[in-house]
Amino acid sequence: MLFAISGVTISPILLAGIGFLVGILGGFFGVGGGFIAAPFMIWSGVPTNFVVGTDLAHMTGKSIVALRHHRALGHVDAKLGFIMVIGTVIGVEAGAQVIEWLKSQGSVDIVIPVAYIVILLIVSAFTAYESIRAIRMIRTDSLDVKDALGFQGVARRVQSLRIPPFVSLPASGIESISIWNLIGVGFLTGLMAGMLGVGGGFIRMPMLIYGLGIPTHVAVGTDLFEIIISAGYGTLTHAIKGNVDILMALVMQTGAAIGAQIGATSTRFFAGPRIRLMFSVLPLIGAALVIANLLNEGTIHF
Amino acid sequence: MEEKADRSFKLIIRNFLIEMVIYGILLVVYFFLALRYLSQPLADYFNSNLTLYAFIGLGLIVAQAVFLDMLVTFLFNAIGLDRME
Repeated sequence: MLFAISGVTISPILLAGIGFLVGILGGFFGVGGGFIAAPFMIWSGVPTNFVVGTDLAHMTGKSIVALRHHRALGHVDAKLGFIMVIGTVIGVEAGAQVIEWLKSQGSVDIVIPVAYIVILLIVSAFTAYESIRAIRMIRTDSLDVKDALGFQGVARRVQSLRIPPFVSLPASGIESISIWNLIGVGFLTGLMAGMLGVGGGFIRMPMLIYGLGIPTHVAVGTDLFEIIISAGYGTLTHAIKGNVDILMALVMQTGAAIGAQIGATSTRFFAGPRIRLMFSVLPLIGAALVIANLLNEGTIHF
Repeated sequence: MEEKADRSFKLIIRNFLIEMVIYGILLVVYFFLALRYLSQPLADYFNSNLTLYAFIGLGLIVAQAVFLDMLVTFLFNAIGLDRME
């Protein structure tokens, strides 16, 4: 079928299939899945300038479907999401400034992909280590499976910082936490997202769990809330620049909507540590795709 | 106790599969309607006014997500099935 806006002919079934795959990931892990969708879209013939914007557009819709399900399951902390957005927006802008500086230094093409790979590998290794430790703790200490966390040091320290004003997060089981901690975590994830040009779900999810001590299921739901705002904003800015094929995004969203429901529903059948262990594979896939891209472009060679 | 949990799990899976079938049918119908009626008007907006196109596009994405989900909820209530939640 011809998509008149981007001027390409692609099977709508294929696009809906890509949406379905990414929808499952989004619903289950609370990530946008851009790092998986983008290579598939390029492979299926979507022009490069339309890939990012169109992906953001379908991500917005898919996340709305998944968020409605997570909200019904009590997995969304809207107060936390709204406060973090402040830091995220500032962080994204700061990240864009860092990119501009790197461009002026002529090192953006190597620094960003290498930083991306390093961050992905650290996130993957740490999440896998912690979740395996948590699963062992459940077996040996008979801990509540939902609350088990193999690494709580950072979250405890962050929660003990007493810089006013404070806010309570009943949906996340936190009585009192400094608002600056939430904005700070939002800023850090926004900074990385702005620098790396991604939605940042795979960074934000671990930060919410390990940095703030948010329960895994609530972290997944709240991450989706953040994705809707950031991807919605990204859709508008990219569309104004003529880089979004909305019809293509609508078609992808049809598949993603079903996938997101399956993913969101499936979280009911897995405890937090198991979800985190499975999540740890995602950054590895992302890193492999970036390395493959660098090899193809000849930026790095062995 | 275990038998009760097993029955509850089967009920959840059954309702989930019915929900997926309803959702799938709605999406296929919508899919063809959208491709048929939205293609040309969207292309016209894209070529004439990108800002308007951007807002209409985002509106369509949000509306599609909310509308389909609400429709499924309505249908489930109408036929007396609980949703997965």
